[in-house]
Amino acid sequence: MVDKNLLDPAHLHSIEDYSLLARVVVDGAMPGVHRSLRQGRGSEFFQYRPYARGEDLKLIDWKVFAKRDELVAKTFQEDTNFTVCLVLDVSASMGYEGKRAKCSKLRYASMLAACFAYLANRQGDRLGLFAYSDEVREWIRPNSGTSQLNRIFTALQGLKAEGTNAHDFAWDRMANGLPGRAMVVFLSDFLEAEDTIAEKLRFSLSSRYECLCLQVLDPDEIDLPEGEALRFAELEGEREVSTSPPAIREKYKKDMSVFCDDLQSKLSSVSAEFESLVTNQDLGHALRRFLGMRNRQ
Amino acid sequence: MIEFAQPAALWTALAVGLPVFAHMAYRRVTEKFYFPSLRFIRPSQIPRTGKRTPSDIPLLLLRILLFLILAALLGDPYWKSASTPSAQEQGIETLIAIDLSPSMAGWGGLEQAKEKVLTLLGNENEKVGLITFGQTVLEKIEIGTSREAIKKQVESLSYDWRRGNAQVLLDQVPNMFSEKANERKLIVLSDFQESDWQTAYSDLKDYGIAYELIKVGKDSEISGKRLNNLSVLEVRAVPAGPNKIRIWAVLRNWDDQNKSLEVELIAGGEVKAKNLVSVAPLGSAQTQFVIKEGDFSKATVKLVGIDEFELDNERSIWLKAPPAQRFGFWMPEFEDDETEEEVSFLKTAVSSSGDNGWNRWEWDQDRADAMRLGDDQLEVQLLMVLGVGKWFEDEQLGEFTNKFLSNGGVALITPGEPFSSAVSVLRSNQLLQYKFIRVAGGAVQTKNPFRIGALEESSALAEIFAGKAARDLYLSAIHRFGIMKAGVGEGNVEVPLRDREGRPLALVKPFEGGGRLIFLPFRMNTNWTDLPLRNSFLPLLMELTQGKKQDLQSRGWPILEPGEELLGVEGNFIANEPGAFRFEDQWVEVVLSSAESSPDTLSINELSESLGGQVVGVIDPLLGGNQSEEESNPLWMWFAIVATTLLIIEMLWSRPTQNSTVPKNIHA
Repeated sequence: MVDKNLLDPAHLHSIEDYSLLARVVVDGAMPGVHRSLRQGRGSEFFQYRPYARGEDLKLIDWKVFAKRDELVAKTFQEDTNFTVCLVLDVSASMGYEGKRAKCSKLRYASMLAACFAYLANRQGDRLGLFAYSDEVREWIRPNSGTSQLNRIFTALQGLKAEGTNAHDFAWDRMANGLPGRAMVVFLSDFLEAEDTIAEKLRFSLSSRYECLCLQVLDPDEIDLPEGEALRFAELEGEREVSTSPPAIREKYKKDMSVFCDDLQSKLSSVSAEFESLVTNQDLGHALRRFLGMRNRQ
Repeated sequence: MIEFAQPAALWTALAVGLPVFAHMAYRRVTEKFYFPSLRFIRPSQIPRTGKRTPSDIPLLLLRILLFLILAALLGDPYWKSASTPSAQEQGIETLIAIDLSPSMAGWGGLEQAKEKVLTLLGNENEKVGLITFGQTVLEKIEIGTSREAIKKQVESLSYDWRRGNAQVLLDQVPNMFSEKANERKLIVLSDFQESDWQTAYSDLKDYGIAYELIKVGKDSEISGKRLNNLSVLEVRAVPAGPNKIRIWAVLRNWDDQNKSLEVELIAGGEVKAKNLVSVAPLGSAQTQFVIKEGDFSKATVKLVGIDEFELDNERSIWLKAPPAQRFGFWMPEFEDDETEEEVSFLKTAVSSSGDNGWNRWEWDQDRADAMRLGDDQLEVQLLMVLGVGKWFEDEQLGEFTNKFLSNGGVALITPGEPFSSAVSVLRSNQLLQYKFIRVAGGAVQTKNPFRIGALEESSALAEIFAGKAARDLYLSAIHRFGIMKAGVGEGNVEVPLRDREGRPLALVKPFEGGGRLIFLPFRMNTNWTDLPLRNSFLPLLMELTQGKKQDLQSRGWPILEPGEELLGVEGNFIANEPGAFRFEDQWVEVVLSSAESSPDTLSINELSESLGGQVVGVIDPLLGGNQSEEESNPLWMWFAIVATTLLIIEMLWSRPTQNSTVPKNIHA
């Protein structure tokens, strides 16, 4: 039985440490939903287990045998030769946190990224992180192991929402650095991206790549904030518009829906998967979607 | 107590409706709401909720207060406070000045001024003096004189007939105060009639004199002018046929409404005739009476009825013919035939140039001879110097001629023989700097004479000799004439007549005193020209000598205004009040200055500029006299400071707020 509270961003928001947060989510709230770690010939030590007759003698830890007079075998985490690349939009618009939201969009996306990283690491995948706004903010090239995971957690900790988004420029840079097989997870609001996204993510048509685009939106972006009259100012620009949200709400919702549908349609055309998330929604759905894709590999 | 110099400006306080309206009609969204993307957000009309937010009302009140302060500022506020009771001990000196110009006799001005002064004298705390003025300072009572003496003097005051001049007051005022006075105050009671005050100027601040202006007399509340006045502007008497005199009068209506009134002609103490006249608003009308000549020597035209200013309602006039204009000749002692003929022509012509009435010319050779002997009084109006030559130089007549011309006389000069000598004499006596070239023509050319060229279209002569009248002039024959050429410094000499080749046939030189010198380069006899035999001779001669025809018609007895003097042989005549007077052999008319009838007055503000700036205190004639005991301190500076402060607060308050909804920089 999944404890829903452990997936609620309102609770998770209070956990500063992404390492702990990922363990709470993955091990606490979703036990057994992921594939167990493959043990085998990897470079990373995993655990000891009793030596079974007939196994390769190379597996025996002779130092333990000398101390305890007991034959134990060392097991290693098996390298999967599969890369999970987390692409995170950290432009200023991702810093928005409406009154109804549990946390900001960036925090929500970062929490998801941490969980994905944790899950991927547990499955022995190589991990990479690419954070951008108008320039590349963080670029941790894919690698495997706990230290890589910790590097990613630390990097997530230091991200700030600032600058304007430059999807085209960033995705080009990221695509050039992709390894042979990879699953690319995009975490962004995808605002202003629908015109070029299909072209930029054409690489996902290849059988070697999988693309998961998770759109993170604030509840306010779905149906506008409350208030009789507001002077809206752009987070990533100078433009201002004074308007009455109740007067334009219906039209706005319709436009937003059309925008999301359009985005999904374009991503489908390049075999990329799309999911729209709202920051007051628990993380479980996104995690299951991630695992579903990963486990297909 | 706060009072306002411009209370009408307080109407601008109605502008408080503007912020109220603005708060009712508009809603300004001042708070910024930062949002990820505005691509689907469209501007829309922002509805009024009808419910005030808490910050609206205080802001509205602040704006209303700001408007009220601005309205009060426009009203020029000042603080009026009673002066300290021990003013006399502190050396406060007050000088009361009363205008006694003739206009004060109208519109109740003088009576009102007296009442005011008596009220002002009720304040025992100050040393008081009195000065009255009209055209000159009339009476001075030193500051510190007992109030009873001043009161008595004020009660006996009467207007003066002479035209007012406020400058004499302003010049005299500083001398009236003592040097030890701590405070000096001048209180002027006047109708501030424009003609009396418009040129008056004195910076009283320089002398440390504060002043108060008290306007007396009834003004129209709308126009600021004084109403209901008619005046006799001018009266003339002229012959009207055999044994009759026509008296015509010009009446002026200073009011802005049409007036009908009766005008009487009084002669010999009886009303001889009456006319009913209607005068348009701010217009004039004429009326005339015809009476038998010889019955009376003077008459009075009088308006019947009461208006606000009675002094200009009548005017007296002599019914006697004015003296004729005189002319005479200077010529060589030994007359030749040419000169004799010339004198004859000119004498006949000039004598007949006047009309049969009072504008006539009289030959008076005795006076002309007296002038020739050095009498410097202007005895003739037209002097004809014929055959100028060596004799003129010998008798040293150049100096007399110059003096005569400078005094406004007219001299007609013809050349003697030889012509070059005449030109030389004129040049050496600084009369005419023209050069002589040669004498054109001669007896042989009698059959082929010179003709007068076309007159300049815009000239005065062209107006007289228009149409058929010009034919006679152009047919005139000139057998001989001296050809003249302009010398240096004769740019102001006019050449009204030329021959057909453009050579001057008459030179007219104006002099500063109004005199005119006319030089003809030919003689007025038949040897030189047939001009004297022609009909055009007389008008040509009179135009050249008189210049303006109006001069002939303006003959009359001397007309003076009160205060003016007329020089006589044994003494001077001083005009005191209007009427018709006899002085030596002259008949003098004294008339009130028409400027005093004018209803225009100056406002206190206009006057304050001429008196060194802001008025210290303005007293409304409708209020009591206690105001003179009060001091006024302008408050506009304080109001301006308050308004500026409120404006700054308003700007700070209503500026877009800094704590708008800005997302925190999220550290993931």
